[in-house]
Formats: sequence, structure tokens, C-alpha cells
Amino acid sequence: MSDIKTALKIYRKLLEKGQLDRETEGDLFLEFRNAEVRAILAEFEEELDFKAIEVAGSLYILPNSGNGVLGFTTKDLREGVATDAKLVDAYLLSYISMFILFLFYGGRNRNPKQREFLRISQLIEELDRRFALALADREQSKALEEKYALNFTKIAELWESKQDFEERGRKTKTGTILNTCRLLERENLLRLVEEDRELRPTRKLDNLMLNYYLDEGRVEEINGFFKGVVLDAEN
Amino acid sequence: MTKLEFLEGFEQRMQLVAAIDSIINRLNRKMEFERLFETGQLDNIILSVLVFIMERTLTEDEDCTLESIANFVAQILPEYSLNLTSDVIRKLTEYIIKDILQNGGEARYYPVMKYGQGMEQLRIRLIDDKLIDALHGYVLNYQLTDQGYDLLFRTKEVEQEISFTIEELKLRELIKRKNYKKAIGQSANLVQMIRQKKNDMRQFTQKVRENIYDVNIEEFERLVSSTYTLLEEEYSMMNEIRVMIVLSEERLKEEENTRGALDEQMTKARAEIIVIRRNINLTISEQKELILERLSLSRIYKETIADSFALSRARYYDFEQVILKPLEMCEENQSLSLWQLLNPLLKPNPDRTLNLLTLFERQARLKQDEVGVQSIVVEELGEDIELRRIREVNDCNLAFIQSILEFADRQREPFRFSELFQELERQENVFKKLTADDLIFKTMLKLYDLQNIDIQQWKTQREDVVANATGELDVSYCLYRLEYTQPDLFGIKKLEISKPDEQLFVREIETHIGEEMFSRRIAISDFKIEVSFE
Repeated sequence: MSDIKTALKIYRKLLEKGQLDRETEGDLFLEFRNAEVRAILAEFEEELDFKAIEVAGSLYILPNSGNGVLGFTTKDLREGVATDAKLVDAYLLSYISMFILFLFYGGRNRNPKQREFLRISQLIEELDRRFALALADREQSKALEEKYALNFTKIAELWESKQDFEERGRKTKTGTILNTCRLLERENLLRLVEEDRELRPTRKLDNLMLNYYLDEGRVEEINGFFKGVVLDAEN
Repeated sequence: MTKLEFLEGFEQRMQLVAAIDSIINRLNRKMEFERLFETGQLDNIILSVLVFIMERTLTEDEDCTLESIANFVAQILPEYSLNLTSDVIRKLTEYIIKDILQNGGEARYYPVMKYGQGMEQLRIRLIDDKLIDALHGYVLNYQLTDQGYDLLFRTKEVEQEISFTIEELKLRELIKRKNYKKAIGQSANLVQMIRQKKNDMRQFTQKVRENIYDVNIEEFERLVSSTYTLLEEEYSMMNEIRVMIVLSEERLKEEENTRGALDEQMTKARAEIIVIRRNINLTISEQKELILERLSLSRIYKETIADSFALSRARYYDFEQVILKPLEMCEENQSLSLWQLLNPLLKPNPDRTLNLLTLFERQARLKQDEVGVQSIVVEELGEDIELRRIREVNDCNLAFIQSILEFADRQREPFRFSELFQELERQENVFKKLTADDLIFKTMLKLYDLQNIDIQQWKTQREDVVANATGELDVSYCLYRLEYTQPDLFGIKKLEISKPDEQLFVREIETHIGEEMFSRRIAISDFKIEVSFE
């Protein structure tokens, strides 16, 4: 098979499943190490704005943050979560997703993974604590240095207004969290176990977080994102 | 440091303390459960749960789920004069497993002094869980970690490796003295011990897969080399024991022959020997598997080290400072694009935008069309030529199998290859294709190799047929294609190809290449083809 054909075959598999595993597709997986094939894929990566990384026997395709062609768009997000999602809902969803990642991988050890599983009840408690800090900050004198944007206190208020976690409706804390988790579960990043009471990261999430996402080299990209460089709200 | 030599390896002693501390001084205490018990009762129950998990882990094919643990807890609670509802028992079990033994999912550390190197944080994890994708959703299966085993063994069982040899010696002595009842227990222990070794291997493999940082090379080498030497010794000793059992059986048989029958005690002894024999055989086969697992463990370890080399060099940013804090400070106009932070972790969505692939597919179709256009010189790639060759070979094989079936249908009696060949000579087109590259002869030899083609069986046991990608003779593929034009496959049930005698079929085959004519002489056994009809 020609190198271009092999590269396309790998690309196709990656598009279909998001990953290519050595265990199930050994031959194709090894072709990724072929210098010519790798070079062709590198050109795809550059032009199509994604990265292909190999971790622990799996090959993953990772659209870059601002990639609206291969990656998620706000529209996808709305369809995936709620058609009537408002700006503040989108913010809350993004924040909860990141907070879950933080609770799993925010450790300061050499291995930043700090827990094996996370109970939904505990996640609610942690979020309560976090949002309460923002609300308390708002109450305090304005002379203090502002630690939170007004925007964030709004989602803290939205969170506080949600009902007790025993209920599972969308307007409750548990419902909001489960909604977020289901999106991440569909993406094969998390698993909801024990009758939706517990979260577990998948091997894929471990691989991606420890080998790419948390890499110090990405700090600039993330800083740039927050400075509005990667603004793509139109997607 | 010379004065403190007696403190060498002190951290190993502390490991036991740390493990016990994780139970006694448990964090995450929930008073709603704690107050149900008198002092020390819950400690006893927690340790019993650990023993139960060990028991289940060592027994293969037995899952150790939260349900099975809860059942066990329900079983032992009456001993503590407690009567709780099944709902409370379930919650209590969850408390013991998740909050105490797994520390609520968080890592638990205990400071341990390593003399000469200072205090170190020792991670304590007595049990481990494994997520299994079962029929009705995910199920968690619990097992002991090495630390868990270490704790339990030190609380009762003697040091494993020593006991292994002692167990064996004891068993040999017991068999010699015909103390079979005890020997049964001993041989069962041997099975358990070897299974535990296997389990160690599996746990180690899992550990390597989960986090190579938790594993040190000494641990790996110790496990591999100790297993290897142990197995070498044990394997020959086991065989010796088996020989002894055979001898015991023979003696019993002799006794039966001389006395006419065995008395009650001897009959019992015989039944017991059978059990021992089964255990010993089981141990030997488990040992063989262990050797194989050892090999795969080394492979996995090396691969993971290679894979994690990049990881070990990686430096991580502070998630809270780099992502969480800026998120809390972000302005409203950015809210909608915040999901982009997640983008690198999400799967691509190919149905929406598959531009490059669409392009690729169109090109492929174009090429197919071009094949038939003779006037345009199409540059053929190596793989296209190969594909065409394979297709032609497949077609020829199909034509040949079809000819055999048609000929058999007409003949309705056994026939020779030579008769079939003469028939094919009359069909010029087919014949030319079949004799090119001597395909007909090669295929005939392969059919002889198969000896019979059971069409009836093929019809009932048909599996998914895939297009034959290699050009090798694939009878199933030919039959599948033939079925399109001949659904009943001529009503033939079975074909048998044999060589009844040394009769040869010799033919001169002529080929024309341009003006030149080449000839070659082929000699092949004149195979006999027998056909049975439905």
C-alpha cells in the first residue's frame, strides 16, 4: 500500500473512532511509526489543525482548541446538552467539566492524578465550596482585590439557586452535573458507575491528560485562549 | 550509620503499621455507621471483609462485587449480635469499601522513616478495583493489592515463599504415610498458592498499566526472577509428587487384587487420592500458565517503560492556576467559546465535515472507471496490479470449482481428474485461463490436500464470507459466489478427492507469447473425485 493511502487509512480510523489501538489494529498502528506515513500525517495535522499523539499503545486525534472543523462547536454543545442552553448554562457546563478534570488531575505530585474515582455527592460538595467562596467574595468590601469576575458570580448564583441534589431534574445540581458527565461519557472520557453515583476516568482520559493536556508546553496556548486570541464564539 | 544497621529495612516494618493505621485510624468516618458498633467491632468486620476479598480473589472465576461483599457482611453480622436491614448493610458495605478501604477514592499516605534517607510518604492502598463492562452496565470488581496481601499474610499465614516449600515437603510426607485427608487440604493449598502467584503477576501487570511510577524495577526483577526459580524447582517436585500418587494408586490396586475388595477406609483413601491427583494436575497446569504469564509480563513492562519515557520527562502545569482561576475571571463575551478548552479531549465529528475523505472516495471511483478505457494509458500503481491479479486468480478458481460441480452433476458417478481435464479442453476460454501459470494443477493439489468438500455442512455452518483478499484457494468464498448463479449448488452434498492408485496424468501444455510458442510437460496424479448428492 502506498504511504499516502496508509496515512489516509490511519486518518480515517482516527476520524471514525477518535483513536487507533495497537491491540486491535496492530498493523495500521505500527504504520504510524513509518517515517514517510508520519510525514504525510504531519501535513494533515498542520493543515487541518489537529494533533495525532501516540500514548501507551493507542493513537489519538486531538483537534486543536480553536478547531471548529474537526472539533466541537457551540452548536454541537447545545444539541448535546440542551437546545435552550443559555450563555450562563454553557459557562457552567464548561466550568464543571474543567472542575472535574481538576479534581482528578490537579495533584501537585510527580503524577498529578490524585484520585481513582469521584462521587457525585462529593463533586457537589466541592462545587458548593468553590462557588461559596466567590459569593462570599462578592459580599466583602470592594476594597479587596477582586478575585472573581462578575460573570463567575453569576454562575455561582445560578448554582446556588439549583435545588437539592437528591432530585435529578435538569434544574437540580445533580441533574446539571449528570448532564455534563454524560457529555464527557459520550466522548469516552468518563464513566458513570454505581447507578450514576460515581465517576471514573477512562484510560483514554488518563492517557490524554498525562501525556498531552497537562503538558507545560500548552500553558502559552491556554493563556492565549484566555486573552481572547482563540475567540471563536461564532462557531 | 554503622550503629544503626539494625534499623535497615525499618520501613518494611512500618509498612505493616501504616496498613493497620489505615483501618484503625480511618478517615472519612461516618458516625451514622460507627455508632452502630461497640469498640473494635467495626475493625473486626473490616478485617473480615479483607479476608473475604482475599478468598474471592484467590478463587478463580468468582467475582468480588459490592453485592457479594454485602452478602458476606450480612452473613457475619449476627456473630456481632447485630440485626440490620439489607439497605443499611449495603450502605455499610459501601462505607467499608469506598470510604475506609479506598479512602473515598483519594490517595492515602503514611509517613515512614527510611533511615539514611529521611521521612517518606508511603502510599497505602489495601484494595484495588477493576471496572468490568458487564451485560447490565459497568460492574466494579474488588481485589487485594500487594499491600493488602502483605497485611493479611503477616496477620496469619507465614511468609509465603517459605511456606510454599514447606507445604510441598509436608505433602510428600503425608502421602508417604497415607494421611490422605490432610493431604487433600495441602494439595488444595498448593493450587491456591500458585493462583496467588498468578494473581500477583496480574496485579503487577495492572499496576504497570495503570501507573508505571508506582512500580520499581527491583520489584519487577524480584517478582520475575523469584517466580522463575520457584517454578523451576516446583515444577519438577510436583511431577515427583504426581509419580508418588500414581504409586499409591498402584498399591491400592494391588491391595484390591489380593484381598478381592477394599475395605471402607481404603475406599475412602482412594477417593481422597483422586482429589489430590486432581489438585496436583491443576497446580501443574496453573504453573505452566504462570510461566506464560511471566513472559507476557516482561513484554508489557518493557513496552510500558518505553511508552512512558516521554511521560517521565513531561512537566505539568498547575491546573488550578492555569485553567481554573482564569475561568473564574473570564468575561461574559468569552463564555460561549469556553468549551474550546475541552476540544482537544473530544472525539472528532467526521459526519459533519469529512472533506478530505470525500475527496479520497471520489478518486477511487474515478480510477475504477478508467480501467475499462483502453485508449487512455492509465498509470497503474503496484497495489492496483496486485489487486487485479488476485481478482483474476479468484475468478479462475471459481471457474474451476464450478466446472467440477457441473461435470459431477452430468456424470453422476465418480470420475478422474483426466476426464475433467479433457472436458475443460473443449471450453477454450476457460481452459486458457486455467492452464496459465498452471493454476488448475495447483488448485487440484490443494483440493486433494483438503480431501473433501462438505457442501451440506458449509450450508448449515456458514460464517460471514469476506472477499478473498489473498488469491489463495478459498473454497468457501467460491461456493458463496457460485450460489448466486446456482442456488442449489447442483444438489451436491459432498465431494471427496482421493488418490486410489499411482496412475499419472501427463499433458503437454502450449502457450503462445507473440509469435513464439512454448511448451511444457505436466505430470500429475490422476485423482479420483467422488460425489454424493442430496
